[in-house]
Amino acid sequence: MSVLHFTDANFKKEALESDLPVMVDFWAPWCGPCKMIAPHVEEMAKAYAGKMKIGKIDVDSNSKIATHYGVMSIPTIIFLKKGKVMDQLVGALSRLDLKRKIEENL
Amino acid sequence: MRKIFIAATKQNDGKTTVSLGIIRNLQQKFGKVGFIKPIGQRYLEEQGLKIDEDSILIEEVCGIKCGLKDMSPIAVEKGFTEKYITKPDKKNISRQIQDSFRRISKNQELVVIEGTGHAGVGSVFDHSNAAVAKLLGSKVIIISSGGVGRPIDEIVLNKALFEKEGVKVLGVIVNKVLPDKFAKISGFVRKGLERKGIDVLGVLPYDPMLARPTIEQILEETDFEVICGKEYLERSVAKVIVAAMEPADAVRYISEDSLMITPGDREDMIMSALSCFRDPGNKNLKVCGMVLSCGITPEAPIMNLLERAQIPVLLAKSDTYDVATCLHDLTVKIRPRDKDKIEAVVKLIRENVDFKKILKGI
Repeated sequence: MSVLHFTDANFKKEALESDLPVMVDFWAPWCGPCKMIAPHVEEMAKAYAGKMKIGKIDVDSNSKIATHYGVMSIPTIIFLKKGKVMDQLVGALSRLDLKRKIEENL
Repeated sequence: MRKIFIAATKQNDGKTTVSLGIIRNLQQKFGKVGFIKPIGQRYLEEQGLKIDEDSILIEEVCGIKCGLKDMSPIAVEKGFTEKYITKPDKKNISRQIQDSFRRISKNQELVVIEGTGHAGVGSVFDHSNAAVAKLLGSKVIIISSGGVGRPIDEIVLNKALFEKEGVKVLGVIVNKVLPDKFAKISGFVRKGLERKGIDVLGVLPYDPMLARPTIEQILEETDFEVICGKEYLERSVAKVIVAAMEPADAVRYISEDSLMITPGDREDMIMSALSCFRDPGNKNLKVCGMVLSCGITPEAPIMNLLERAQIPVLLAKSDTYDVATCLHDLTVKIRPRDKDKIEAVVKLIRENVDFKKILKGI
């Protein structure tokens, strides 16, 4: 499964009401560190298909959700379980750290 | 020929800034302006000679062709004072300064003489700033940093030494006055100095841009090494952040063009710093550079991220406290290639210094 694209409009249904744990990557097309982690996020979305819902949300066009979660820096990654924030990370992550964080939040 | 001696109440009050600004502004009035820094304490090796770095700056920025050796006749190198105390030779130093000044002054309409440190600096080898001003027969402008009580106290103290040598103090320029206190401080300092019979020739607002070092300047002044991002050394630093807290807390303190100091093994901090502001007006990376302390190079995956981040990353052998102290104590000198800073200085002096009063007095 490839990475999902969350928006202000679908966030409630796709992320908050999901039965699976969710990883949300807050990003923007102009953000260098976001681009650095993008391939890892894509890879994890495939590797954890069926175990975790992994998606991205563009903060420029979906500012409501980004503001709701107090996202001041990007990339920011949030892990949700039943709509509740379990973990929040700011900044670039190595592939291994991202994998470790996913495992912790399954 | 007119001449003026730029003195200060202490080191780093802004003598070179004022000299540069005065020269550049007066070059429009006088065709031929010369410069001399009779005694220099921070020198560079140029053509096998020890030349004061302020003289090199003025030569390059103002296009003054007086000959670097004459613009900087005495370099106080290591062991200079000990040698002098062992075998004093006042006449030799005086002669070198006078000879250089005579050659510099030839065919000039104005010569700006820059002192070193406060009025008494150089007394150890019988050439205090006050004595040199007397030797060259020049009136003096004293530069002081901002404030009210301290600058007035220090100006009065320095003026006393110049007057003891029979040197006339033309007036003072108060530098680095915080913009939000400018009106208040300017009023008090003028009134306070007037009471002491001292003319205020200018009050200059503090421009934080002038105090910003580039990462390259930090490298030049320290023993840090570049571990990646060599091509971004010209980035200027507005703020230094010591990242000694949780990453989520640290990112709140980061403002634009921050340099982060963190130990090389704090991977969480390094990764947090590799993020951008989420602000429509500021789409930049949160840090303009990093200094990794304690001599620890991060593991390969983190190094890989740093290498792609397009920022300079420096490695320091010392601990975080020592790195922070070292950066805090850094003296930011204007360099010939700092075009924006130079133009800012010229404008600052043009708008805040009373040139009519200066020219009337010299």
